Amino acid sequence: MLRVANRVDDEHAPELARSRQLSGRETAFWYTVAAVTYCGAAVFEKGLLNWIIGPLWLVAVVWAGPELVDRLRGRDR
Amino acid sequence: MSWAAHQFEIYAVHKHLPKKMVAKVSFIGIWLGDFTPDFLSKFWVYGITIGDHHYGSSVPQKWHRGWPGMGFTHTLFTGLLIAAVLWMWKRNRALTIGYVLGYAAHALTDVNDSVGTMLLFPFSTISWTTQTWAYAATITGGKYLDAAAYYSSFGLVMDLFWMGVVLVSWRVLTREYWRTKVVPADPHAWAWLSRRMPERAMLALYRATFFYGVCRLVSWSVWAHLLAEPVINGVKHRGYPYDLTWTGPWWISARSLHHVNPWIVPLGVACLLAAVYIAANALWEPMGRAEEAAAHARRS
Repeated sequence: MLRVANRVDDEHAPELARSRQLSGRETAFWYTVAAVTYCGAAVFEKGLLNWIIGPLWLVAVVWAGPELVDRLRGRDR
Repeated sequence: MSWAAHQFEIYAVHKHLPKKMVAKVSFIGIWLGDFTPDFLSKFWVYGITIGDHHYGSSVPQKWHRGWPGMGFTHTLFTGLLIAAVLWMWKRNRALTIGYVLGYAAHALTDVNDSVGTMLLFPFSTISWTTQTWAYAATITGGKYLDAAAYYSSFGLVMDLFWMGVVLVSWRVLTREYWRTKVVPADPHAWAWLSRRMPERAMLALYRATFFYGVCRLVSWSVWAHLLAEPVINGVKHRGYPYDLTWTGPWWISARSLHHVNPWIVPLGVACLLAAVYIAANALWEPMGRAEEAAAHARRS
């Protein structure tokens, strides 16, 4: 879990959002899923190729994908 | 214009900072600086068509890079002006220097198409261009023809070059680099995000511009060369033809503005790059002292 920065005052110290760390293989899997689905969709719908949707697509897949799988598997965290 | 090159160059700039600036220049600043020129000017280049009426620029290249027009957004002068306002407002050295570097990267990269940028604005409105590939934004062709021309010419090579630069410096995309070199320069922004999303989402956000650049390159290339069936000079093609010749591709007429001799452009760009580097170096310590003084004044 990230320790955000030495320059942040104690009063501003973040309450870090909880989540488990992905293994290298899981990370590669979710980035690949994001890339394949985004490119696949964007080839046919060019409106998806923009500054907002592109970055958000990756963040959404990498953030929500593992959570979703964990819930489906009923994994304890 | 350059496409995914702008998404890749921000990582290259951050990775190749002068030693004393490592982990101290804001990645968000570089991103903002690189993003600003097109954010301010590009929406009207292609325009929109509602019903039978097209709303947009009548001469896209003049609007995007010329004067009169929004060409001033692609100049170092405007970058410095906005950075000065940013500095006076936030007194944040990391953000200000990052912004200038990102802005300069964008303005200097765009000299490579056939329109180029007004590098010496406001002293001169003449364009500086190497004419390496055709500027192909048109009213009728819109974004599609522009993308097809770009990804059929040396523009594709430009994108691949910048992607290669990032991949050679692959550590810039690692969690370790993000934690030790990116987060410390923008502690408040990342701290704010860390209260709202897990670390893997923040890391994805940091990598997202690179991801978008790769996907943009792949998607437009696949469409232009595998799916599109253009009719060029009365001949139907399966995919737009590649043309890696100067100011290509041959199948579109390269737009241009009044410009300097392309042979002097690399020298001009090198001089301006050096000037930005030297100025950033020279201002680094004084700005640091001013930032400290402003922080001290706020505390007391």
